[in-house]
Amino acid sequence: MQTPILSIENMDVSFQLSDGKYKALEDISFSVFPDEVVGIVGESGCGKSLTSQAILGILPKNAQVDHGEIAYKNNNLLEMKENDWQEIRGSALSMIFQEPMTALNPLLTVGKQISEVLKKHTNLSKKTRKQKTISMMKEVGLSRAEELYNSYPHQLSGGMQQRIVIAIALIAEPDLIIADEPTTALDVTIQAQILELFRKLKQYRKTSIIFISHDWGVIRHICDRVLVMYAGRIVEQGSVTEIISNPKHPYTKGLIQSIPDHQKKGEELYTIAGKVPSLKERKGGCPFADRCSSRLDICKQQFPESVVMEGTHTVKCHLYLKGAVETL
Amino acid sequence: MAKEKSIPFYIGIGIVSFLLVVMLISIFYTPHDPNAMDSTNRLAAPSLEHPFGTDNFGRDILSRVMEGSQTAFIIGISAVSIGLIIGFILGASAGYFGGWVDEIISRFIDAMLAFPGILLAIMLIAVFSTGMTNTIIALGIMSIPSFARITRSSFMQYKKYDFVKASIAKGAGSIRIIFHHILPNAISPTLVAVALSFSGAILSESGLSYLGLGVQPPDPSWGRMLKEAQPYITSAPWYVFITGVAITLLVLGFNLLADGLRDKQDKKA
Repeated sequence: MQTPILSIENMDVSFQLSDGKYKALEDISFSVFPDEVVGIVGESGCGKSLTSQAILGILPKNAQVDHGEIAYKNNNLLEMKENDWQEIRGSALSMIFQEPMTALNPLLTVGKQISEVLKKHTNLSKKTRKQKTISMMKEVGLSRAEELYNSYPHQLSGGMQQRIVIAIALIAEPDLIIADEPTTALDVTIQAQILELFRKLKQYRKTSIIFISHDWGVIRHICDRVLVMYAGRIVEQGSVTEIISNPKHPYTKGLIQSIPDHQKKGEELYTIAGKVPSLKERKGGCPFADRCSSRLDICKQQFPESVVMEGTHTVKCHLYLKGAVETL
Repeated sequence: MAKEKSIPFYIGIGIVSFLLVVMLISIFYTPHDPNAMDSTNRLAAPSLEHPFGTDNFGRDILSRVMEGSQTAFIIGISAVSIGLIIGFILGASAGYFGGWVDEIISRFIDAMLAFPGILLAIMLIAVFSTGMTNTIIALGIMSIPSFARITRSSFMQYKKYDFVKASIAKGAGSIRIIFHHILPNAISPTLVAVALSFSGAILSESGLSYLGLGVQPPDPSWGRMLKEAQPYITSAPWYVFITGVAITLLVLGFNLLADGLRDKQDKKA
């Protein structure tokens, strides 16, 4: 088996709030292999973005990784010195942000913001940096790259801005890109274009991508494997086709059932009742128990172990643990 | 964005540039030697020879006012620079790093703010003796807190923005983020503070010199001229009037400039 580019082992992240410490992520473990696109899905507030921030070490000031390991090619990032980590950020790991308008500095030209990455991580001359920047801008679909090089973010449309953000993430040819809902802030036609761009990148660039989204349609088109997160835990993971055709966890089932579809025309769309418990509302047991239609007695007391379904498909649900079926 | 006309802003610019031109001319040319005394022609009323009259030593008031504008500008620029540089470093570190760095710096600034500015300056001058340099240092220190606070609040605001996180994700270090990414965004609120502090520094200098604590003879100073003119307020009212108008004009000019800058910013936001 290949060695993973990134592997996270039993990571816990907690927030220090005024009235105590609250666990936001619990027991997160997953790996990303070379040339693989891993999707992370879940409702808002499930810890998708927090996971990506932990990988890059840009957690909010009041959050911290309590224990666990984030290994980039066998180096534990959490034990790394700040300076070494800076070297890795941008050159080996990079990030695409959700809202291009806020992820770009309004007072610097877009060309500068892209070539800045090269300035930090390479010894290229100013001229070569500019050339590389312009060819990268063309690669992400900005045809008038030479003209756009000296423009400011506000002069570009949302879709163009997001292309710039993607160019920033790609320019240093990182091994892994974390895309945190890169299409959420864009309108539908631009979304389609950006997704098309991702598909091309996947094809030609051979970069691994962690793709965070709450849109199953997007996940289905882009990802190889998918992690389903709920209330700070990974509840199910497996290949995209496997999970979409054969979801096991009641939460995943609910999510997939609530995708609008032209075959469901006229019917009322399925929704999962209730909402994600906030940090302070989380108790022991399975966090989904309160909203689950197939809840067992044990669900409120104990969080289930991981059960291997088939190949890489695993699920954390009491329904699939041995002996659970009899008590049903 | 449509260009909004801000009348106070243009009046401010007009006054400040007029005085700036006067100051520049006075370096090369004044109608009379500002220090040449003429005991036969003391406290003369305005005439063609002396448009603003003469003072109690028979010196030409116009030339002295022109010469005094140099002092005003030198003091304003140097004091604001000192306050701006130190205040920026303190405020930027406090706002960017937060935590205990912020606590220490903020308490230090609070302690400075507890002293009324002019008293602080008087105290410093009492310790370090009078003179142009010490006046500048005292006024510079006086303006540190306001710059530090403004810089701190804009750094705290911009630190949370995604583009700052994005630049961390690009691999940028603290120094680069502070100077390259946040500083340009923090300039416009600071600009207003610069204009206000400038007029504040000139006013304080005049106040100090009026008390005899600021600029010492023979360096000309509007504040000291005002003090010298005071005994002759009935016999030579133009002396007090002209000096007072000069101070007022410069302070008014910078205040209008600051107001206009702030209006422009508010419209942008």
